[in-house]
Amino acid sequence: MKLQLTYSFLKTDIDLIEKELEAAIKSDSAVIQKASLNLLKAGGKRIRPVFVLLGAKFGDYHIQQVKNVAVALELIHMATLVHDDVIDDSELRRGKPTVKAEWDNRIAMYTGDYILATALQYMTKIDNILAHQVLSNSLVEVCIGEIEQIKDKYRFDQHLKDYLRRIKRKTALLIAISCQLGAISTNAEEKVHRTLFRFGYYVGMSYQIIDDILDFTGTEEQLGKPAGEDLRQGNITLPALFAMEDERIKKKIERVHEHTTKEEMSIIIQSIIDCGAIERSYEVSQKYLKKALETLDMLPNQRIKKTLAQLAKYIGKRKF
Amino acid sequence: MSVQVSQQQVAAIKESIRKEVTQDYLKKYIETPYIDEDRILLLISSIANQTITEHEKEQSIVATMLIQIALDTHEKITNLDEALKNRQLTVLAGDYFSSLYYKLLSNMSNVQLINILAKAIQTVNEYKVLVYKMEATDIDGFIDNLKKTESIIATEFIQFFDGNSSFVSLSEEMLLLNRLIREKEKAISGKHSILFEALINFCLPNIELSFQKLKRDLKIELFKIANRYIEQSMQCIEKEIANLPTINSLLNQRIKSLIQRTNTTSIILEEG
Repeated sequence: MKLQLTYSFLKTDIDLIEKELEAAIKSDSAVIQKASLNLLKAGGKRIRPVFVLLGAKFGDYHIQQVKNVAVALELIHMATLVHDDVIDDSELRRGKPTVKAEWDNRIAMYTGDYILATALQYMTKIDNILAHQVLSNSLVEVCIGEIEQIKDKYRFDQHLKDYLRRIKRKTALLIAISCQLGAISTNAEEKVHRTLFRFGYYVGMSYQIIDDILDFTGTEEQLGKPAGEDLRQGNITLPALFAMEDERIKKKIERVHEHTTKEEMSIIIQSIIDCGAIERSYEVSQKYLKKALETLDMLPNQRIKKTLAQLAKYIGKRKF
Repeated sequence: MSVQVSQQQVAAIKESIRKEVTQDYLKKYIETPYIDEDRILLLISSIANQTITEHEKEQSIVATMLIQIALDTHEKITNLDEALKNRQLTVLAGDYFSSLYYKLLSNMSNVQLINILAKAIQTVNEYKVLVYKMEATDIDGFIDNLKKTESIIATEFIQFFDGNSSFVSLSEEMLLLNRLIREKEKAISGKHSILFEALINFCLPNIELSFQKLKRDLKIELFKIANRYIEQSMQCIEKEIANLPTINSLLNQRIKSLIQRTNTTSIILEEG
């Protein structure tokens, strides 16, 4: 089933959010507006807004109110991407030139800061202090997570818990709070929004592990970057961690650096695939997915629960 | 308010900011952020007569200063091939400081100030692009854009709490003057200065050399133009001070020392 079909009943609201996103990035600066628009038009799964809308369905749902949270979360994601491309020195994102490639680093910094400020402007339309506290705490955590990621680059002696903590901050938190903030913004019960946070957290963990698997199993065409690029840049992900339990593979992986060639990388990737690290990583991802689905049992609203379950399963099984 | 009390207040706020921005790992790789005491003093002065608690005043100022520090940190990102780790952490440090401002104001439940400052960040980035791309009709326009990049965060805060138009103008001019002096000092010491690059661009459009490669007479010509803007700014400051019923004694002292600094840079220039 196509991802969009699982939440087709939200189509009108999602279209509204898409229009609002375009309106949000309007700027007096032609450069900022064009840079932001290019990024917006490059697409993206809009997973965070969808989770916001679904979370909001557990409370007193009014799209005119909820859309502010959905737009804010997607803008935060966009701002992070613009700055990430400066961090990673990336030329392409979703097959299109990045802001830093089309303009330069400085313009990318201004654009990212502008988009983040726009996100906070949207959030201030939500007069619920808990929503702001949840979001601001998470943003601090996300930043610390990114700093930790730099710190952990090419650190081959790291443990599973280092990896899990990192992906929690890097990915799972924003998905978790997307679900939770949707519910908070519609005044859902505390128990409900906390449960939604847990659901989103488990889905986010599963999502990132799949992403990390695909970095080794996807093609350059599917990924928009060469396979094994995360490892080449020093990010030690779950498949690499599992593979390093084999001393011979560990020695090969420890020799990876930013100038390792495509040919050298393909030998290492093959070793990671052959030793069963991919299957083991997939199992961990499925465990998180299972936990996400179990969490749903604690929630009311059968229809939305079903959609959340379908969405979680889709994410847990996606191929690219 | 006595000079000593104001100094203590500035020091206390500076210490709170320092605690917020100190992050063990970042400390190893990036410079400790510069905390502008004059800016703190302007914010303290604008909020002095407000009926909110001292804690709220302090936290509001710390949050606003964090934004300025975040923006200044991102200003260090260049297009040069610098050490990758340093660049990566500079980007993240700016983002981190920015998230801290939001957290502080959320914990104070001050959604209105979050909104005002978020709008100010948007505007300041629009002006930063104009300055960076030198998009202005003339040098007056460029200087005006430069003034906005320096002052919008502070003046939006001041307007939110105080709204005295003379104090807003005084703050704008003081922050501009500070920037003009810094740019002049950079040029004198042989560093790249966006102001002098703009002066060449707008005032010597047929010349394609960098400032440091210009002949001495052209350099002096540009310094004279820069001095005119410094002089204008000083006059505006004096005019706005005269319009204010009272002025914080320490702020008054700072302004005088700033003006003194402009004289020092002029002497250096004249002596070659």
